[in-house]
Amino acid sequence: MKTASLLLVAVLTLALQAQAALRYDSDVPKDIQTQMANDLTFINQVTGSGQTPFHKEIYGAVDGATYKNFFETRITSVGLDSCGGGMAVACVQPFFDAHKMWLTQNFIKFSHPQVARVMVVYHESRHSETRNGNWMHDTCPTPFLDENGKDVKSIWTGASLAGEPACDSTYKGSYGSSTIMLKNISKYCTNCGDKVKMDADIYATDQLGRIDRPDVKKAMLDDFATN
Amino acid sequence: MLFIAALLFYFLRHKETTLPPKPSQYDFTETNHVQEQIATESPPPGAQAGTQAPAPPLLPAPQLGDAVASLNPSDKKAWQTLTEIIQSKNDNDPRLDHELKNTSPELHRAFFETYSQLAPENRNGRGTIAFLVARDLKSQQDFDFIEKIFQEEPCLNLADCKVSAPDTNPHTSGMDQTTLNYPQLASLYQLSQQLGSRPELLQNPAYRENVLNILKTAENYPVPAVRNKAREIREHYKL
Repeated sequence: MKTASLLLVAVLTLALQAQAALRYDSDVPKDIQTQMANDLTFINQVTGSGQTPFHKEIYGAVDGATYKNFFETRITSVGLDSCGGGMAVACVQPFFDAHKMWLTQNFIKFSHPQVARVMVVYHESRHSETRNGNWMHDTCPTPFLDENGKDVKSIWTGASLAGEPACDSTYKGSYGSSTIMLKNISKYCTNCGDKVKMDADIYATDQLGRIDRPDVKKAMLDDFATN
Repeated sequence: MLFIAALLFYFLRHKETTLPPKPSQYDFTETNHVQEQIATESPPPGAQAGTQAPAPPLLPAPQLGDAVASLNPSDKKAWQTLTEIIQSKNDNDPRLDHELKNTSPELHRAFFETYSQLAPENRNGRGTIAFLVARDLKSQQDFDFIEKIFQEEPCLNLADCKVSAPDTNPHTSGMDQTTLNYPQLASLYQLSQQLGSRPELLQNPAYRENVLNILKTAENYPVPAVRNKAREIREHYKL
């Protein structure tokens, strides 16, 4: 009886471990699986010397184990999809499967820096939180002005973001949380190279522009200035 | 009990092979209505299982141009390290900070050559080289190389720099457009870092003139975010 119980525990443990590993649909190309695994390995091995208060609130420490837990408690499987087509790299479709991330062919086709790919998968993983309304984006206000009173525009096309569903009014949303993650990596990561820290800062600075409440943006800037 | 546990284990392991058909595409940014499915490159559900995505032709086989061919063995090894890192897409490779920092003028010339050989769509590859040179600005050729980056035609599309992007989805436009301009933004970032940590360099007239030339050229770049960043640096240091 004791042996049977031990065997049952062993079988159930194996089953649970199989559940814990990220599962890929069979139609996800190997190249995409490899890239995703490599990117997650990178972020899962990060070590940090501190964190800002907002980072501590959302994630915990700047630490690979923390990031791994954050991601794996939200996303359990990966599929292949167009995510609406165009330039999309990844998405979640919470009404279909809240804990599944969909990657597109662009995930390996487009030459984004590694930290940008990590940013987008963490951004999307935040959208999987059904208990938080999936952190739906805010509609950027009209007009949408920066601190200098100028229209906030896409950096290249110059197209105004006013009226677009592409902002966050809270630091906890997908833009806000991934901005905080990247700023903390740039500031505190102890095993990241110069390029990674630079990239984290560059992409975080861009994403910060999607915070449409001046008081929230200021709070985030104050957070980043924490020693 | 054992039989039930085994059955449970079996079904859990095989759950992912019996996927329900995917619904119409939902654009997460507009969750109140279904968007029409757009024709894409993705295979239909269930088809071409395990198919590998074609490798993007971003990095041709390393070519031995004059600058690369004339490298000494140590620099040649460093150059090969760079091409490996670019190919691997592992941006946190420690060799970027150990073997590819404070490098020789000859190796820099090899970097310039490799930059021009990389497809324009290889934004990260080109940006990595721009980062390495801008972090290590020493010679007139370094300044000339960085200034030329701001004389390039902007890349319009991550799939094909010469063709306007099919959409500018505002949800992801920030990340996409940052990458489109990554070599330029990385160059300005490193320049700003160098000026921030060693402002006394500006007391050297030749250095000052070279930096000013880069910034003036960058301020004429068609992308507003690049222009604005260059102006911000120039104004900050009163150049």
